Amino acid sequence: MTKRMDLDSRLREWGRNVDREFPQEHRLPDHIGLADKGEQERPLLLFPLLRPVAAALVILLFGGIWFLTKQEPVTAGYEELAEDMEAVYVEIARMFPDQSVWMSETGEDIEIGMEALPISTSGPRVLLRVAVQKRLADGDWEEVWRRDVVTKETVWVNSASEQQPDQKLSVWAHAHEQGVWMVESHLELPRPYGIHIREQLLMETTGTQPAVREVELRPGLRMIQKMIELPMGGYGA
Amino acid sequence: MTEQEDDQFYVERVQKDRDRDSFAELYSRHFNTVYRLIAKIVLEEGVAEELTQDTFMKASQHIGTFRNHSSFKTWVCRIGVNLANGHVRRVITARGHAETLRTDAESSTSPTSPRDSLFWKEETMRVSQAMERLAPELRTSLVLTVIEGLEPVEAARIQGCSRATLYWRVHQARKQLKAEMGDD
Repeated sequence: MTKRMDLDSRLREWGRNVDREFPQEHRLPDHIGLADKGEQERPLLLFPLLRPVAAALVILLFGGIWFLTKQEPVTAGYEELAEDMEAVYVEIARMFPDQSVWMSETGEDIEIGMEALPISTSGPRVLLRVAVQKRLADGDWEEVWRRDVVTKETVWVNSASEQQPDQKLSVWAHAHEQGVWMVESHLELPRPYGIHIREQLLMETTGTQPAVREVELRPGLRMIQKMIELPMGGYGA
Repeated sequence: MTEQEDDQFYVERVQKDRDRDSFAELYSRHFNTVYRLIAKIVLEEGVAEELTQDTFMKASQHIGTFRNHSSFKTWVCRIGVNLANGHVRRVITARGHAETLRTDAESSTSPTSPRDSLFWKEETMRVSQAMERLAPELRTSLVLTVIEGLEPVEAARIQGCSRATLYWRVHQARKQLKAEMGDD
């Protein structure tokens, strides 16, 4: 093996080395049996996180720009919120220049997360909103849960409420070429909504690709344009 | 008959008659494929074998619900990949931090490591360590496409993601590996 081999060749060679150690016995073990027909009615959930949730719930993952017109957006005051959150975010990032910082707020409290920079975070900042709306009997929608997150692209945000630690949100956004973004999200709201969903979406800043099942995931994001020069020497310099 | 048609024949016999011999045939035909995938994701021989058994255990329990939306091979690979990714996530969670993961990967090269038999060569070890630092989804995407040579549409089906997502993951995985291994 030489260093001159390209990466894919090295990987394939590595794969062949792993394959040489195959177990040779391929007889079906006795402990693997076949269930009776009656025991097989429940479909296997290949992706348990995508199991259907209670009907009439809508997951909204969106940003400062509301792309869809099927229902009223819940973005009232969002521009102002974006500015406020960015200002706070910039201050925190300035205080901890060696940390990867993200910030999440629910309207009542703010959660700040940081860790030693595992990756380059020179990319743009984005503001992501994840909201859960419930359809009411009269057809209107009521927001029952919401979280706004400011982070830099490619930084995973793993946010969990201190008051309700079983409520967890992970989001991540990565800028592709030509205004296309990849957004991955994972939301767990076991109580009281029974939501456990994971989604990966490619989206443009001018459109969305809603995925309609028992729930609708409506993504959107806003790239925060305002860039603030950090003073040399860190915060307070 | 094609491999897929053969599989379908055995699947139908299992579904209709609970024919254990037919399931044993499916097991025999696809054990290697599933094991190869899982071994390269979890990077531990013993765990790979255990998870491969678990995969076929799940398949046997749920084959009654298998509909021909995909091939049996894709279906069983999806089960295996999900189990493997779940295992890797649990390992990462237990370790708690990427730096811990790095340290563990380095320490795993000790002579007493159970995976010595697989990864004793220096180059193989380097790749294994770099692969171990990849997030499970990135690792799996690379294994399915670059190493196993599956078509992107098939690899995306197995991972349960879009082709765009798959492309991005492969791109990210390559970038990270190049940085780790000093490959340009």
